[in-house]
Amino acid sequence: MPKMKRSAAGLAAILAMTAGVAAAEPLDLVVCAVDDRSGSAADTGIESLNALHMVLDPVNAAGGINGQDIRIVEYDSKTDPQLAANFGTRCAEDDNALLIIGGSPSAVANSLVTVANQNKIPLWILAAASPELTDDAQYQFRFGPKVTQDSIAVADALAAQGIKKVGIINNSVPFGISGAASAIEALEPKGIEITTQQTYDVAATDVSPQIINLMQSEPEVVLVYPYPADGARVIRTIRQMGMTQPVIMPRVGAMKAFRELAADAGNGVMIPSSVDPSREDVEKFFDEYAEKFGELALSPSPAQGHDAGMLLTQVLKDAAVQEKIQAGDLQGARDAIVEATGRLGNFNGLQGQKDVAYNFAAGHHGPPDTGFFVFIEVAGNGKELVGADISKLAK
Amino acid sequence: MLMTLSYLLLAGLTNGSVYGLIALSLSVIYSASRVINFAQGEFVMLGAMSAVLFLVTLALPWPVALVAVIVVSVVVALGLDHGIYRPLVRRKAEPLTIMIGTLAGAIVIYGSAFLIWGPEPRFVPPVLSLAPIRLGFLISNAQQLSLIVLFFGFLALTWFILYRTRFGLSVRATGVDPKVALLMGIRSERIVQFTFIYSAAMSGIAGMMIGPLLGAHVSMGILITVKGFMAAILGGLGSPFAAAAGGLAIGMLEALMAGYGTSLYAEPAIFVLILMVLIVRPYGLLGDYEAERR
Repeated sequence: MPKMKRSAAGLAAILAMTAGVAAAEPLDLVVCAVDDRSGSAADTGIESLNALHMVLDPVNAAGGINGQDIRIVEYDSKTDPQLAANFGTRCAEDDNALLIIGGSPSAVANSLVTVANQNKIPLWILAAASPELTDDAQYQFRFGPKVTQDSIAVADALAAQGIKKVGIINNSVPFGISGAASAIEALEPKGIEITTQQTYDVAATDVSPQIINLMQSEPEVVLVYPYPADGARVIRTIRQMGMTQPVIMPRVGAMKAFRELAADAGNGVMIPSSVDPSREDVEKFFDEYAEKFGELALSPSPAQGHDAGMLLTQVLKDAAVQEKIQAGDLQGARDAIVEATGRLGNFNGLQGQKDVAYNFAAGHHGPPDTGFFVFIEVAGNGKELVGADISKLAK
Repeated sequence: MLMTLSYLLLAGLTNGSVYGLIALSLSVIYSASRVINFAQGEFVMLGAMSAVLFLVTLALPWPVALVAVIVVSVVVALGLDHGIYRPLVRRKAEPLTIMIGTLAGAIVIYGSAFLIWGPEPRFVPPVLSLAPIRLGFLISNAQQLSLIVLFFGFLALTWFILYRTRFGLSVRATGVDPKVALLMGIRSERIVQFTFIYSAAMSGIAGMMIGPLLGAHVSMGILITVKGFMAAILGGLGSPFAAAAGGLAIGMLEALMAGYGTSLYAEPAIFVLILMVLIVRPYGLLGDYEAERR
């Protein structure tokens, strides 16, 4: 019996020593980038990852953080929520990642939210627009605005220009219906009348019945919530039937597919954008991006990747985070990153109007509700996106 | 008031022509084989996507591109006939089994197109001008109006083939009873093959003409098939002309609902209408021929 006790005590001592040695080993600075780099949302995932590297590669080249390189482990979620969840779990359990960055389509981001909460690992969401992703959030933060924030920006701009009557046309799929609903929710409290809300089938070749109704309701401004192909059809019919009112098309208006399909009919379509082309730092960044990866029309994804990279370097340098990293305490480091994100996350990035900061404080975890958007417009027969003069809305 | 109604009727005619073309092509195959080809919409997609290949990538003039689109459609139709229809018929498969086979064919065509062209919507250059054309107080464009011309053109050609040629008589005879037709010296398999090819060419050309308006993307086939199928059921699947009329009816209904109500509920309303029609007339609005045949 005494011999057994001695053996047990000896084993415990060995385990304690081993644990002590392991705890003293600093954690590697591993960050997972789980996002679409093929499939329908590939552009967003590729652009944001390129921008993340544009920020982190120079940091690593200059010696990293406390002598450690930041290592990005890349996973392509292929617009598949199940695949994204598998990769997210691998990041948390096998790669020992400190945090996960990614999730551009909302469905993919949603599955990563589940992984983040189950594994208590911080998740920085990039482009996903679904408002629910950061409701009551603990581990997840977002760099891309919610779709409802687009509507708030539109309502603010229209109210500022004294617009009183808006016509809405949307397709009959969830994006169109929820987009129109969020617009109505934002416009009505500002005393803006919805003259008509027209819905059309994405497979309809001719949308003139809806445009006739839209035209007869005599709006001052038209709001469109389409997919790229039907958006082009709607704008072409609007112009063909002689409607000259300004058209605002949140999100889809900036998409390359819409601009290509709409061609000259797309000129002048306005889009609320989280990237302000008049900012010098934005222009400089996009020039550098073009040098490295080729020409790119103004897009929020590279700006989101850039801003995530900027915040990441600050968070990893944070004393509380470094203490846990040096102590080899993975969960402690993850918790410290969550805390540091909230504390350091009120910063000015490339997204938003100049001097308007993100708000990652508890209860918000994302871009601010006001002052974040500017308006851009389609120009050059769909080839360009340039800053828009919103006073044109009132004309 | 008159202007609004005229616009609604024109839009109904345009959209109805698209649905009618698909219904016509579905019905031509059904008339000869008693099989609904669930891959029919994929030929519209192939027409639109291969138009991008020939008009944009290879920069061919549109008449050459049109011929190339027809060739692509015909080759794929032959693949469907030899790869799915004939093997199943020779193994005495039930029509339902063959229909499931065509559904599998649709998935293979979609998957192959996805691998070739990817998921992004593509711009299809218009064959005709998209510039506004005034028709009295109505405004449209040549590309849209061409769909109506195409629909009535194919309707007339189909009527001519079926009712003014000996070959058409063989097609109709095969549809009534393939075994008796065979005993009469009609090569039923060849007749069905012709309907696959003819319908595929019709859908491929439709795809090339719809593409500039709808945009081309690899998943467009299923949407088109559903609408064409609804039209064929409403009009009467057994007769190509009844099916085509069903397309026009659905187009008109959609336009009138959009104009005087809301498009949001147009599709459920049309399905309810189809259900009501089928309760009263189980073979469709104009399905007398099919009813008599049975």
